[in-house]
Amino acid sequence: MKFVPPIKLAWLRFTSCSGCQLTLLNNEDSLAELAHVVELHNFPLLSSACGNAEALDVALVEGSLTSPGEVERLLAIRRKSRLLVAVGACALTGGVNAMVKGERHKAMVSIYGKAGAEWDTFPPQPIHHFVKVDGQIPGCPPEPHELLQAIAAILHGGWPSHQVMPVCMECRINENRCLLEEDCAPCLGPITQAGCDALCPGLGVPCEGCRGVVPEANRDELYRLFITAGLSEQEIRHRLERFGAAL
Amino acid sequence: MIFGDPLEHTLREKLLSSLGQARNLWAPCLGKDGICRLQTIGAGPFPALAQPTMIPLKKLLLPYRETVWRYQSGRFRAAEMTGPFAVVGVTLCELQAVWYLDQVFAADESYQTRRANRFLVGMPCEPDSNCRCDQALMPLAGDIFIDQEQAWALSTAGEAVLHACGCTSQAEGPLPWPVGMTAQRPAITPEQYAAASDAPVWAEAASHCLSCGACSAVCPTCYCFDMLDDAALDGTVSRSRIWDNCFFAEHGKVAGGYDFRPGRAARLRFRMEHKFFGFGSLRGQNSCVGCGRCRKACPVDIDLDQIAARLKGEEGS
Repeated sequence: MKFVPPIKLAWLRFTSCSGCQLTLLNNEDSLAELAHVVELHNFPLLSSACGNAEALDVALVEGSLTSPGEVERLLAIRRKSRLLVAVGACALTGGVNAMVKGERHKAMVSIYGKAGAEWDTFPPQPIHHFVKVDGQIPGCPPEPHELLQAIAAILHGGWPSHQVMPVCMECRINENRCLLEEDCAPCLGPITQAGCDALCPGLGVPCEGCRGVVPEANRDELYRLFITAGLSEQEIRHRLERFGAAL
Repeated sequence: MIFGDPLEHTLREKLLSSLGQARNLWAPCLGKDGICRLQTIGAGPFPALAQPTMIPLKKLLLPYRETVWRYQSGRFRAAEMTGPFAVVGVTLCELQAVWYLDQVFAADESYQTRRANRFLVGMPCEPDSNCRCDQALMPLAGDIFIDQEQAWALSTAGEAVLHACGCTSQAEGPLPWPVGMTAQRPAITPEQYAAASDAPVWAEAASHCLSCGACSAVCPTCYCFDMLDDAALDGTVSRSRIWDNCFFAEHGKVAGGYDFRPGRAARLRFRMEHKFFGFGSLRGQNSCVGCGRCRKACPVDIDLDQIAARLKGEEGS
């Protein structure tokens, strides 16, 4: 797909923490360069002004969907965007929002009071449940450079190169101490898609799986390892569900 | 040529300072977390023994990710190369592994540039229960080997460095290879391997394998790579070479979605075939130098040697 810079780009935010937007802004050294090639039509974290362009080149979508109103907005943006890219765990899998369990009506009332009972919401859904998604940038949040690389690749008519591999590979490359092997820690590195440079295990924190599951992941064996390490079935389930790695 | 002056403290110091003058010095360094890594050591100290590092020497000769070329402002630019470097404290098995990589990448420009820039100093090691080195497996690469008393020149460059340090007379005896390490090496033949393609041990090992790729990442003779293209906002386009891994789901995939090795069992078999029997002009050369890194790194204790031993037992069953 050919684009002539500056590309008309909008950032849409649904149910999320805005951390993905912040991640793009954390590329301080590249923002001036970005401004040359991008015409920004919407970016909630920077401005409450809503762009009303009739057509967009690229829509970056952050967050999960939780209400009919959000679905309408998403559909409208899909109709006028040449490319629609899902950004971050919430948009890709529902993210931590999707952990919510139990009776929805009761939860709404207990958190928001009587007003909560009136709101029309549904359990958090990834955006691909509603629209065609042309590209995905995983992570909670994604790595700052990934957002720039995606925009740069789109400008060149492509999509960033990408290796399908688990976090363990980057963790070994960085010569980190293996938390799974040495501490029997519940690290999700073996089944989680890499690209984060094994950030968490490198800091001694077991991988939480925020970048989603690699294809053909061996969950059975990881489950066995965690049980052997003394985790309960419920603890393992919670761990896997945090970012939608449970089956 | 072999040199035999006792390596007095001053000579070791001389050697280090002579190498360090023109080269970036690297050596195995044991971290507080118990992990041994190859790191730059500046002016020393000289390690007393060789130690296997988590990621082997290939990290300097075939970096995890290297830019092959860059296209910027209408011009192609070749990748920048690292300058001369020396690695001090290399195990004998790893010197074999480097010899193997030298054969594989004999026609590779960037590898050969790094090869020309390197100087490798072997030292004695302390083998552990994972070690299965075999002196007869293949020749050594490297420039000099030193222990507490003697120095061996392994190349003409090594000879020159030793001469410059005033070490001139020949040492006696062969290199001090650890002895008795080959007992647990199963001598499996390609025929035995091929005949046991459906052996139950493959499915069993595959059920445990996490496909994490650690075994191949830490292997001193694993060298599979992928090529990736990337763009930057300023219009620069670059091509990189990055380590690949035969345990990853896309390693055996080709255009059209066909997968040469679907499933973990096929990938484990591929790794054994590549490791023990080689491909192309190196077919027939076992490239497992017996360093034991894969055994140590595997979170589920998969051991190719144990699988090979089972295959020999199960052949025809």
